[in-house]
Parts: sequence; C-alpha cells; structure tokens
Amino acid sequence: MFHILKPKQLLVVLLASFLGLSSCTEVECPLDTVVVMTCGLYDASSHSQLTLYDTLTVNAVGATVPLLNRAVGKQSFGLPVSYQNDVDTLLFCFSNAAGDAATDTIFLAHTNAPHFESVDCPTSMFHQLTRVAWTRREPTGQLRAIDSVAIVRSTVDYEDIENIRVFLRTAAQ
Amino acid sequence: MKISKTFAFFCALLLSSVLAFPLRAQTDSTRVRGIQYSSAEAERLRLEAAPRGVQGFAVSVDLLGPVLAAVSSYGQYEAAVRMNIAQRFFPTIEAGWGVCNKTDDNTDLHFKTKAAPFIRVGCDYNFLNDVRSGHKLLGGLRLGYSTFKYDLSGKNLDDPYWNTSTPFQFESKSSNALWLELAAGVETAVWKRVHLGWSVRYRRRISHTTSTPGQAWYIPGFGKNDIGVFSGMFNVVLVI
Repeated sequence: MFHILKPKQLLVVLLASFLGLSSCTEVECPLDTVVVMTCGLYDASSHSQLTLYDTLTVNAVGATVPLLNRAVGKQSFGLPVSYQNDVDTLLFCFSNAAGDAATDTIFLAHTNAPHFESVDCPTSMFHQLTRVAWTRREPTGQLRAIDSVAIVRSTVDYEDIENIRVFLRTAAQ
Repeated sequence: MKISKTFAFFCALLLSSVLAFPLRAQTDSTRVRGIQYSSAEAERLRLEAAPRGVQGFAVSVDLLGPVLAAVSSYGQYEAAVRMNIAQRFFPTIEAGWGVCNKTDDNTDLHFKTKAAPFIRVGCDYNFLNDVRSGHKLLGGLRLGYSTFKYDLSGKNLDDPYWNTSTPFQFESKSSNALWLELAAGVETAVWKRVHLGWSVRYRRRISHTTSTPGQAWYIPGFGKNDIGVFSGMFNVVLVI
C-alpha cells in the first residue's frame, strides 16, 4: 500500500518547493524623508493666511546656521527641529527695505523620537510639539510683530502638513 | 511589480502541482483497486466503511525555513503536530523559532531577532475523495501569534543645524503580532509512514505592536513585516 515517488516526480515536488527561495526584494521607502515643522503665517485680526513681504530670517539659539535665510513673499515655510533639545528658542528676525529690523522669539517645547521605517530606508527623527510660548513686541513702523502662536498639528514627521500657525499684527492693529 | 512576481510564483507552483498529480495518476491507472458497488445498499456499505473519527496523528518539520535561514537574512525552524479526523479534517498546531539577521549595505541598519518563538493553530481540509490513497490536496486556515524581542542599530542621527549626534541603538525591543493565514498544499506518501508535502501560505497581519523607533522589520513565523505576505513550506511528515 505504500507508494514511492519516482525520481522524476520527487524532482517536480522539490522544484516546486524550492521556488519559494526566490523571494521578492522591494524597497518601499517614503518618497519624502525630510522632517520639517511647517509654519503658516496668518493675520492676527482676520485669521486669514497672509503673504509676508518683509524679509524674514529665522535663527535658533545653539544652531550653527540660519533655519530660514532672508525669505520674502512667504505664506508658509518649513523649519527644522533640534534632535536633542527639549526646547528650541527660535529668533524671528523681521526686516524691510526701509531699514527697519526687529526680532521676536518663539520658545517651542518638543519631544524627539528616532524613527525607523525599514532597514532599506534612511532613519530620521520625528518630534511631538508639546508647548509654545513667545515674546510680545509692539510693531514698529511697517514691520509686523508676532501676536500669537498656535500648535495645530503636534506631530512633526514626513508629512508636509501645517504644524504651527504664527499670527502677525501691524502697528495699526 | 510585486503582483507580477507573486503571480509568477503561484503560476509555477500551480503548474508543478498539475504536473505532479497526473504523474501519480499514470502509475495508479495500472492497478485494480477497491470494490465496485452497483446498488444503493452497496453504497451504504461503502459509506459505513469510510474512515470516521480520529484516524491518528502526524508530526512534521518544515525544510524550507532552515534553508531560507541559511541562505537569506531570515527564516525559521518549525515543527507541527496534526490530528487526522476521518481523513478529511486535520486540526494542526505549528510552532517554531524565527531567525533574522539583516544588515543593509546602503543604510548600515542592522536588525536582529533575539527571542523569537511563534505558534499557529488551525485546520486543514482534504479535498481529495480518494482518502485512502495517501495523497492529499489540502486547504486550510491558521491563526498565528508571535511575541518576540529584537535589536536594531544603525548610524548615528546627525543634526546638521545644531551639530549634534544622537545614537541609533535599540536593544531588546519587545513586540508581538497576530495574523491570519490561508494555506493550500499537496501531500503524498513516499515511503511507509513518511509523507512529503508542500504548501503555499498567504499571511494577513491582524495586529502588531509598534513603539519607538517604529515597527519590527521581521515577525517570526510571519516573515517580513507587511500587511500581507506570501510564503511557502516544504514538509516532511511522519504519520503516527
């Protein structure tokens, strides 16, 4: 009653089995692996998005290079978040063609979490924004000043979705 | 691309199964087997003679997993125990140990499992009517679970703005996963109580835990961590 496979039959079975060795190797990494905090600029009175025609430079305490350098005509922009600090001190330097210049400070508290997607993909650092504070300054001349700041999405990751809203006001407001 | 490779893989498996069964059929066609019944009474007798209840047990080991572990970055060592109910239903418990030691040359990331046991429970159904032949065409379902630990390491995370360097080193991270598995395969007797068989599996992840820095790259008994994966097994079965 016991059956014995012929060599040819055994070969077919073995061949079919070892086809499983041919594995698919695919790399499925996110296309955008840049982690930046997206900031939107808004008018303090109307709460509508505004285009800033002043020149804006953003520096950070401890950073060796500007986070944003002489940006003009921006409605929103991305800022990096530090990998090790608990609080980033961001210096928003406004200036215009008339020679006026002023600086507002934003204190951004956050947590940092290394992120792993796959061994095929580069690693990165994600952040959770926990608290924000800012200095108050009266607007001078035509320069705007920061009125308030709000966190609208606390997770800073690969998504280019607005994280904070910076509300600006003029001297007339 | 993924679908086409998977499709090609299954086509090859199905083709081989189509080839394998006629080969057996040719050898069997020369034999005179069984009793020919011609009446309803005879049919009743035949049904009464059909195997019922627990017919025995079988233990098996998978040979493909260790080969994969030897030649690729991951694989598993596993064995199974199954019950034979009326030569039709085969409740099965599969248990084993997954191994993964993967280093990517481009990213320098290294993933390695530590404690990686897994278990699957389920049942197969034999679709062949000639249950006494020793051949089986099996379809079944499994529920799999693994709780495991792994190490993950890579290059430091360098912050280009604040000029800091953060180590990317995680040891003994814990994770677990639950998945459902569809199985289809064939099995045939080769020598006395020894059977050989292979099966293809489609595994669908139901749940898994993620923690910093992310999800595990490999799940023992499941494979590369994804929503769904295909896999195969080649079993040596000892019928008890």
